[in-house]
Amino acid sequence: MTQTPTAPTEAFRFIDDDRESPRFRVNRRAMVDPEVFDRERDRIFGQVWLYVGHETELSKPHDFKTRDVAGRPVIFARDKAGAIQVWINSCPHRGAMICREPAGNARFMTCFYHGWSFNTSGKLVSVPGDTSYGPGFQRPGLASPARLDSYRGFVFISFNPDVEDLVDYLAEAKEFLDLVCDQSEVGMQVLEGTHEYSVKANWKLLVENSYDGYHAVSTHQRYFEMVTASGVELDAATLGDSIGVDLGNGHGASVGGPGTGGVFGRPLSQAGEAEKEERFEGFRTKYGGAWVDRMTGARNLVIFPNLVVIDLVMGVVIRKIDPIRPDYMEVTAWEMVPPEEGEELKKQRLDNFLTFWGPGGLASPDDVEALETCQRSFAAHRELEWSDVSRGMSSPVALGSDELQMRTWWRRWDQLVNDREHPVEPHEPPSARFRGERAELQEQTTAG
Amino acid sequence: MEREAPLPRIEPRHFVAELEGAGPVEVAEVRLTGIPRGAVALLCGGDGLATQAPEVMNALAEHGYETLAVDLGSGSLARADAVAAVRSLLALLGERGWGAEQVGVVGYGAGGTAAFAAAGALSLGAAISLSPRDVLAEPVALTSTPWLGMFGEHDEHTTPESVVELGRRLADAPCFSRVVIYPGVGADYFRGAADALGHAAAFDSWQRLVEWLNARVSPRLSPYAELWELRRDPSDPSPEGSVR
Ligand code: FES
Ligand SMILES: [Fe+2]
Repeated sequence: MTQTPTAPTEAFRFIDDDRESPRFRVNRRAMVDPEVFDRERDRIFGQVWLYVGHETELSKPHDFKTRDVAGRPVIFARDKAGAIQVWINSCPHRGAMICREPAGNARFMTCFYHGWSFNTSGKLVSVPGDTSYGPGFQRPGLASPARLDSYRGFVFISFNPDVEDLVDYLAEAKEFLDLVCDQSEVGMQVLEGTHEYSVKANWKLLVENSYDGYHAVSTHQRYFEMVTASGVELDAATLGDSIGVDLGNGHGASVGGPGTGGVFGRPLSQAGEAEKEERFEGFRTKYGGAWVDRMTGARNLVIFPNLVVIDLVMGVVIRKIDPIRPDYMEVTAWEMVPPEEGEELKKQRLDNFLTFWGPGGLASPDDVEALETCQRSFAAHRELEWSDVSRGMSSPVALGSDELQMRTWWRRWDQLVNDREHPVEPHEPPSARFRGERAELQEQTTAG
Repeated sequence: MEREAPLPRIEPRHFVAELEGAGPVEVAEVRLTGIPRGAVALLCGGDGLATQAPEVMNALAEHGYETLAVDLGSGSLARADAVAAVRSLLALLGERGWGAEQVGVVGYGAGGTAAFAAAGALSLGAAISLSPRDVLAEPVALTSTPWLGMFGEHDEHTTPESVVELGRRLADAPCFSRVVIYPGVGADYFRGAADALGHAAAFDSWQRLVEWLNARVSPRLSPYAELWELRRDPSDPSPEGSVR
């Protein structure tokens, strides 16, 4: 079999952003080429802020979780003083992983290879038989990523010491995290019980899918049938009441209008509806109606490059997408709840988390199937080079079922990976219902 | 605590000490040479000092822990007195250079009740109670000592329901704790039994006990580590993390 030699990635055009037609296309080589994968590792994951976890996953001093960020194993811990720390999970002696459990609580983490022991502040506290090192030995502590910061409990790290401050990086996506976090008086909390699954597809396909309003009705027909069968009337107008937004720095969202947040769940009892209503009435007095109207809308948010926060109001999912190989990703998902909510509302959230988002649920497997078939077909990327992402390009206001949010992401991707600049795509500002502001600032004591 | 090949056995030294709250009490001691991993105050519950303590002390020595063991009786001591007695033991261990964070308190039966009370009152490296009693009698505020409580399902002093309730109460405490209930066994599960559940409970509880100590009791700094502490530039930035 003869193949045309592949052009070097630097010279290659991965994005066709044609404002005349208009047309926006992504070259499928971006999903299969190992060189692209390596460049992403360096130029995206080595440079920007990356989500590690939520502060509420670590409730007590010395609690820890281990996970991977940008392919690096890290320990996500709360130290003795209660501060969040992130350590590279590798022994400064000769490299063994210090911590091999997914989670736990320990004042000291002892490397099982030769027994060096570290505290949760990263200090080396004991070395078996240390006299052999002599009195002048420099005792290495645990290494940490260059930067660590959090916004309302969402903890990010960066391996780039010169990265801009997290709040600047988050740009307008901040407001969308606020819309999620304001749904609890005491601070939204991540539940124990994580979903972990993998997909035989390029990681960027799941990024696209995570705020793709276009696919919902066709791909997830089965789920909607289940919801309809449970007694909910799905109103097509509600499903269509949405916009797509560019939030800066590659972040974007598809955003439902006020009241769209409840359409994806099974029906609540009258008491459940009343509790929900009452909770939001309380928020109205605190934040003003315009902000709370926005809170009641669904939103699928992607914080560049790989953090997804999907807020269907009755269920909030945090999803972290990890590229492993060009054609393989791992996914971790958490459910976030207002802990003060009653049993029924909590149950509805968990039901949504399992039956929609769960790896064995009625929806995620369909997404996985869609993405895996894309990836398989990309074996023919030379014969069929381009994927089309143009939907809504010529609309005055992009809808949630359009593809503006993905184009936003891809332009940032092209800028970082291939040094290519793309101007912002012009649209009219969304209507006032999507722009309501928080009337009074919440006291910072309940932040998180 | 079953062993394949017998290791040299250390005979504990016995002496009488005046413990606050408990009066003159017989103490058994195992000292280790070199730089031991840590120290344990072992609280036996009624006549265990002669029978069970030497075994446990030797097993702890295998993991690098020196021990002082006492018998605080089978439950007659008030909690405040039990805490005072533990404080006296800490003072004795202090004479050997052990700070409170380098000490774990391990208690069996009524000794477990005392260990639980000590966990609430003192800042220790770790505390472990095996079959403690009256765990719901007085509220215990776990502020700085991580506590592990292990129970047998058929413990005549403590029902599984009360253990679950205890776990619920401790969940909001500032300090980490864990309760474990072993199915199909009584309060003396740690002595081991030939049947599967009895053997499993003894094996697992010992494993947890050692891991609990190892993950929490502060190691003593070696002379070289102390030198390093002195040499280290105090302005050396140890990362501050992200503040909550
Ligand atoms: S590699 Fe960790 S102690 Fe040697
Ligand atoms: Fe989907």
